[in-house]
Amino acid sequence: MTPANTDAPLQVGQSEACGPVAFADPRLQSLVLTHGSPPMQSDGNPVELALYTPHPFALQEQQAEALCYEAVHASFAYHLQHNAFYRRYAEAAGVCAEDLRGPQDLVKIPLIPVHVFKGCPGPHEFLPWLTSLSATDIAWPTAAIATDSYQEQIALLYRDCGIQVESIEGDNGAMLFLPFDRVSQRRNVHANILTFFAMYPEFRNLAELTSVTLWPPTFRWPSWIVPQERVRSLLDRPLDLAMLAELSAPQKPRRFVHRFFGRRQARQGIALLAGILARLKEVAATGMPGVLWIPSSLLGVLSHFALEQDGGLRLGSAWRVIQSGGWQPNLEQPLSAAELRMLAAQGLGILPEQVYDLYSPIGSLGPCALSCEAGYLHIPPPLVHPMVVSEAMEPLDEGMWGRFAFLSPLPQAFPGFIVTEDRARLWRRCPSCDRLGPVLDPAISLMHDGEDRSCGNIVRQIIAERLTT
Amino acid sequence: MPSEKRDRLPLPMSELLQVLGPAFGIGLVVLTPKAYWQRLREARSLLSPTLYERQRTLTRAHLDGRILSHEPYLRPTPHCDAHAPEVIALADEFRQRATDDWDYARKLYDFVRNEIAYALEPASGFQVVTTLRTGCGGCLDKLNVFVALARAGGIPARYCTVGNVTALEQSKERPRLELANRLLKDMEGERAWSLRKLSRSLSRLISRVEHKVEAGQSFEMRFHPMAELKIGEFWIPADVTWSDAEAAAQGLPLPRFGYDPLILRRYRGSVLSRSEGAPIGKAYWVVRCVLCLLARGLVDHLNQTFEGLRAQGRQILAEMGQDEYIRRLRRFYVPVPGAAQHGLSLLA
Repeated sequence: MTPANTDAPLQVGQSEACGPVAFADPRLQSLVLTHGSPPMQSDGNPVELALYTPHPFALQEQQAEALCYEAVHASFAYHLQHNAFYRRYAEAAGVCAEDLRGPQDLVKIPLIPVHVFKGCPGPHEFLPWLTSLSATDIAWPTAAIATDSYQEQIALLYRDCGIQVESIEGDNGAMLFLPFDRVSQRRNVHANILTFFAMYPEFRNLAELTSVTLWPPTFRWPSWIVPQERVRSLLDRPLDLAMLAELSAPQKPRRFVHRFFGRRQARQGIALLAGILARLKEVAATGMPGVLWIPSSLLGVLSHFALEQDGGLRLGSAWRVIQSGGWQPNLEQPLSAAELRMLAAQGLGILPEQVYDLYSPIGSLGPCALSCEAGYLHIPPPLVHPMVVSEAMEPLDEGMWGRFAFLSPLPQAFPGFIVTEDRARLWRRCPSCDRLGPVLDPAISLMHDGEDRSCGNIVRQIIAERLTT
Repeated sequence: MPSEKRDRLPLPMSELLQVLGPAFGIGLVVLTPKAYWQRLREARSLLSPTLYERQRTLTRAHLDGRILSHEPYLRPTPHCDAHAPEVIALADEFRQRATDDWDYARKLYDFVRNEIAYALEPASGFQVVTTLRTGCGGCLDKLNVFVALARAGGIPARYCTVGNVTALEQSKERPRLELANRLLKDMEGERAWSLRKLSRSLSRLISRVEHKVEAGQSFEMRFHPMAELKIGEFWIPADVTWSDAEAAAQGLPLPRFGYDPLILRRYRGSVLSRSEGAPIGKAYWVVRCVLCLLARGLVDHLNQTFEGLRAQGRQILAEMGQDEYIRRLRRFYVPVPGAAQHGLSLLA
């Protein structure tokens, strides 16, 4: 992989100082513009400056730190002014905007435990609860929404107010909700697109790139990196039904399939995997390069199945696999990240270096880290200030295990200063590649008070539900 | 992230009994005759609580002509008699002193936490009035009082349960195990043979559990009770388990109404269930009552240990000052949704 700093420029057009942010790469520009227009350069907002900074993984530490500090400071001041909940919290913690005098003071910013966003008491209280956590300058509906369904309320909020509420259900049934106003939506998507192409610059040159997904439609990454018409979903409802219709499953039941799907659904599971493999083969046979987006859980099972079926797929060197969801495969024995990579490489006919990880600390709802070829998760330095904190909420030194926390200036609807339920350790720079900026050790796990609310869990539930209907 | 299979209990029941051994059973009851003899010598009732000096006389309200609400979350439920004359009298007293619903709830919160001592007593769980009269109770007893007083004062209140996954890497930092370790240490230093035996049995159990967790197993206890009070549009969560002194003795932030209960942060993070009635059936109360009566000596010892803990906590707060104590842990005070619009004051 070519390091980001030696690749074709991804830069903000300097000639149009008063025009909108522009990109040297027209393809990237068109992708970005699909998801909202960047602001005018003359805006001078530190958050936007950090967001549209070229070569985020080539910035020197001090430069990145300064950009990030300015952005987080601006965001902190914004939330203190516009978010009554956060203002109260900061008051209780005894921190105000003037207390931040430099990057070394970022640790003073009060971190919101992620469970706060899971505290909705029920659909009746949804709107007041959500508004109480959010910025006041968002155009919330003035009247209560008369419906008992979360999904209906979320759909109405999007239709009437342009507020996108993302939700994830954990394994204990509690829902996590995060609101995104239009600015936050645009920043979130743009940040992810720009981070992706800065991390993997070779993708920018692949005009025929296909984005193949084994995720439900709520996982939007596949449609961010290619135009919508080049996205192929292998788990949409018609495809599932077609797969279920093919049920024959004469094969001997396999133990790993039992563990993944449950014994009752093992036969249907085998047919489902066979269907996915057949579709993947079809796509691979076109010879076009592709990215396969897949939950970690399914990657292990699918690779194992492919190996057993006919010695594995042959996706080839033009393909990349991006796994996420964090939910490890229920194979006979738990696999390490490296073992899973190896299994995927064997099963899908690619090199282990072509398997990447996408880590999202709060589902796929906020900032993300992408792995390099060695598996270290790179955090875009100007956009996120990562920390690992102890149970006493004190920042820990580099290389120490603790609870992952981050300061993200991007969200405007809610404060992106969050302490997660993930156990991680942080390095100031990657021990393996030339990209600059902090990295997380690949072995991220749930803190023991965390719950399995990863997207992989959702996929498993969807598959199980569909197989039982 | 590994997906872990979680069990409801750290050990199967058979293994649990094996680890505890017969000494545990003997240790439980061997101090009991002495405890009852002590009560007889002091001319107290055999059922009198350990901390008998905390008992108080309650006034009764006249309910004639008074309209009592039978709306959901305002009406009485099993073990939570919001219409008892004693409860209503106390609620009236608080109402007179409170400026609004928020202030009323805050006063109740502080009263239940600080005025009802954390202690195990066999009878107090059945009736709110008994808990109020004895002035002591466990987490669920205190919660019953809190919910009943809130309902009697016209604030809808309900019960919640919070899950709790325990594992080794954090176990030493968790207040519960910290507390358990402290209690065991205290027992180990006792002169009574049975207490030392009990302490060893329980230490063996803890080390076996830690061993299990080390081997990759985590276990889940789906129970810690909490309340939610509806004030305005919002259900405000509140955990009334620990008093200021008890929290200080354990190094925990002092609980304050309107701030995120620590239990949500330290444990599972989500409320698992919500109900109008107490989330525990009759069987729990009966088993607890029988156990407490059989192991009266041990229960007395534990209750005295808690009393010692409170004294220690009061000393810490007196030396450091309450405001300074809060200031040191102020990062833990996250306001709950809906609280921001009320006058929250963390420091005196």
